[in-house]
Amino acid sequence: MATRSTTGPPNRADNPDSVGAVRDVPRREVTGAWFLLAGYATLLVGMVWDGQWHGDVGPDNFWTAPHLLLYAGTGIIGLTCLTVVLLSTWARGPATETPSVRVLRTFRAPWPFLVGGLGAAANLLYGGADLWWHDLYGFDIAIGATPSHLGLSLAIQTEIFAMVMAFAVLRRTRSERWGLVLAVGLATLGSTSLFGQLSELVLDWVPGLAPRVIGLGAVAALMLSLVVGLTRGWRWPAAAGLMFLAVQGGLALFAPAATRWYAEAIGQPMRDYTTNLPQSLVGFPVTFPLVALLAGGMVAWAVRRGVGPSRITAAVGALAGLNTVLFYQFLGMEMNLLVTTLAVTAVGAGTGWLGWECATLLRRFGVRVPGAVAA
Amino acid sequence: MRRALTAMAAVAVVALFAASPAAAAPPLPGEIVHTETVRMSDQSAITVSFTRWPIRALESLDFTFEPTGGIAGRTGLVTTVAPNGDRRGLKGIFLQRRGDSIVLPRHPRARQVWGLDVVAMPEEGTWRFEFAVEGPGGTSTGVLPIQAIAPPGPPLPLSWTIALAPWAPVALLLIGGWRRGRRIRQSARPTWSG
Repeated sequence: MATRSTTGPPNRADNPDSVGAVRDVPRREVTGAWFLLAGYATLLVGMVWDGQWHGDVGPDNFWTAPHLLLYAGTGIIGLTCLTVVLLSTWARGPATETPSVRVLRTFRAPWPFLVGGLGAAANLLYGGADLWWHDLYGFDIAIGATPSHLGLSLAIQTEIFAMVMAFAVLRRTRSERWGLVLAVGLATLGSTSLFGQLSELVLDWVPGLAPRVIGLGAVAALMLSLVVGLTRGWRWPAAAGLMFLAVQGGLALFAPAATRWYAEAIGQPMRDYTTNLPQSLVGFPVTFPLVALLAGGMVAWAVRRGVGPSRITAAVGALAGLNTVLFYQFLGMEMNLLVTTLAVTAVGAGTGWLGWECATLLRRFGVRVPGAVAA
Repeated sequence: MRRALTAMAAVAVVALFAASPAAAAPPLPGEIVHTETVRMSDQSAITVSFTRWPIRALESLDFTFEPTGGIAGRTGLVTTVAPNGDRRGLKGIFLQRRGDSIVLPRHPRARQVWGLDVVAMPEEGTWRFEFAVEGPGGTSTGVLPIQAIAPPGPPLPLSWTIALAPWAPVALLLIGGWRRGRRIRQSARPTWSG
């Protein structure tokens, strides 16, 4: 495949922060971004289904249908990244505007696809380690974070970041921005795994604190401020909330039904106390779309009143943290409300600032920069 | 001869009735490797069965709990006290609880008894299973100490080190990238335009 512009004239991005400028992105990277999205969606469906299976049924092995779906998603991501890197290496034509690196002095790898490929490879390696772990210790996943599960979550988070990076490069057309907010909707639910584990590992010793609330509050703040920072308009944070609603709602409908069907199909009984309620509805606050709508409103207000984005993204992050603690307080999670509220609001505000800063860097991914590797 | 036949028939009948359903169909046939009997406060008993013995910390197993007279009309509670004193030692996903106690569910593959499937005792040392059985005659209690020996496999710190070591250079790269990007971040005016 030759290097071809997908639309419009060559690079006119005089202002690096200008979303409106039409930028050249090779078709392989555009198609690759959508394949990354499809691969991660497949992976997430498998992951949520697997969680529902562990709760409702229990017995497990490496070759269950949810696991196969999870690893199929990883396979799609890995093969997509390999393909894009090889096509970038063989392509002739103008330089890709996506920052790239030369790997082993031979391969030209645009950053999103290098990161995604490494994430997918790590995911498969940790999958092997996880198989060994479960052979040795069994399949109780309630004993807390394990080395292989944390490794898997880190690898999957790497794939998530690659998907978001790939769409951060695009953002040119309406469909590409919808792709970005769908990626963020998937990433929001998918990031709960790593952030939940890390917060429990790091913060479990703080008296009265609900560590998971801190981790999930940080996810909510990061994702919203990323969308605000990348799109800089009020519609797209609201759209990200809508996409999250679709992702969480769809998985809430799918996972319990698929678990029941699969258990019947392979002759496994459901557990006595199984309620078959969707785990995805308690895995992340269902009220998040409301916060996303509010975030959109805050951006609209800030633009009209000339309030700086740094304050707004910190406020959006704090609001996302507050929403998280209130949701889990409502569900009855054990915590000291004051301590957890103060902590998650502060972490949310800090993560909101971080999201804006990351978005500032990611917005540079769509423009020609000195040192970009010729494709 | 007739006496002998009568005696044999009597033995056969006794043997038939002696083989009660519970005895004829023990829970999880072929999987139980060890049982313990817990004497309760009202002189009844609970038979606790294990699919692994000895129990190793972190290694999953199934438990079954069978009170004298069966589980019909009774509610079983067990408080799992870890060696560190945590009264919610066994975590379990969505296990129904009353206070610190687990309300015992029926075992998914042996519905005639209570049971926990695919659970691991996370900590090495002596655990205490404190039982309470609520029935028509009131509540009886009993305690079973259970020893969990060292977990299988390599030492956990080694497993954690091997699992996390590959991420150390990634963390360094991220920190370096963040510092190198400071100029870009500072040069980009924080505005809503674009």
